[in-house]
Amino acid sequence: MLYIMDPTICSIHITIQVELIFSLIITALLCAFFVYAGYKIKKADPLKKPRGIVLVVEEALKMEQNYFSTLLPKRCEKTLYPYFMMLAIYLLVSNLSGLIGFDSPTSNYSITLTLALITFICIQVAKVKSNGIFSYIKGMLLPPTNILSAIAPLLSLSLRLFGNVLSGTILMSLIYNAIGSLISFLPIDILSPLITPVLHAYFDVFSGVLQTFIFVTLSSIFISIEMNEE
Amino acid sequence: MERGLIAIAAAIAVFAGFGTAFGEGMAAAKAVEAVGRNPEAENKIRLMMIVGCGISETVAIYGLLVSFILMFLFK
Repeated sequence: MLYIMDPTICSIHITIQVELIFSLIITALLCAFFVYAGYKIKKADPLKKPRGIVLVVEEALKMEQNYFSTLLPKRCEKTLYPYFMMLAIYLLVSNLSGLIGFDSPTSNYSITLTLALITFICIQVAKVKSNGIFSYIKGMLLPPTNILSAIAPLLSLSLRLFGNVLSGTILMSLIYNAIGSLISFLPIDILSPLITPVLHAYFDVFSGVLQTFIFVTLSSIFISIEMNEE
Repeated sequence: MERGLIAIAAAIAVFAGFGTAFGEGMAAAKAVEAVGRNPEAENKIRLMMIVGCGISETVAIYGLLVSFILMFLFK
């Protein structure tokens, strides 16, 4: 892990890690994209066929509605569906950003812990809403081990994503080092164009997309379990 | 002496992949059986198998994480 800024303000030591900066860059790019897409949609003619960016956004929205209506109740169409779609897009972009030389933001534990903490708070709010505050506290405290089972999804969700991305990053850097030490024995470098693209396709593309899917699906299932379904 | 013990500990931590390999193999075998019984549902079965494998792979990833922590933090 690389530390790019290390200022000390009023004897409070602040460390800004490089993954957090990359996360901010990705967030800013996504914001710009969505503002542009909203501008395009506002200008689009609803009677004509959608083209370009409008078509992409419409298809993504249709996919979101189809997918999350099987997991979450219909009444949180305006609240939780867009949040989970946004989470999926952010995780997808940040997992794939390792391909263009970014340090993937999800290889920093603070970011995955933050994302899992949002899910954790949503779970607790859904529990309070469906049971009432007193029976929530009673159910939490009466066998005190219930506190552990409430914290378990937080740890498992955040560590799953973090471990997958971090192990991919570390294995890739080990393989790059191994190839770098092997090159000196060979006349030409034939190993790196043969080996590394396959491993990048597995660790970055396949694993990244799969973990995005699993994170979003599991968080929505955890929340929908706690909701009262009428 | 200490470094050798740490290496052994890291190797034992990676042993968590043992059960995961069994589990994923069983999932794949059952998926093959299911496709053989009902070939129209192949797409659904493939998606479910991949998601199940991804979730059960977590245990192996935890073991790998612990071994990385042992190797890089206590050297």
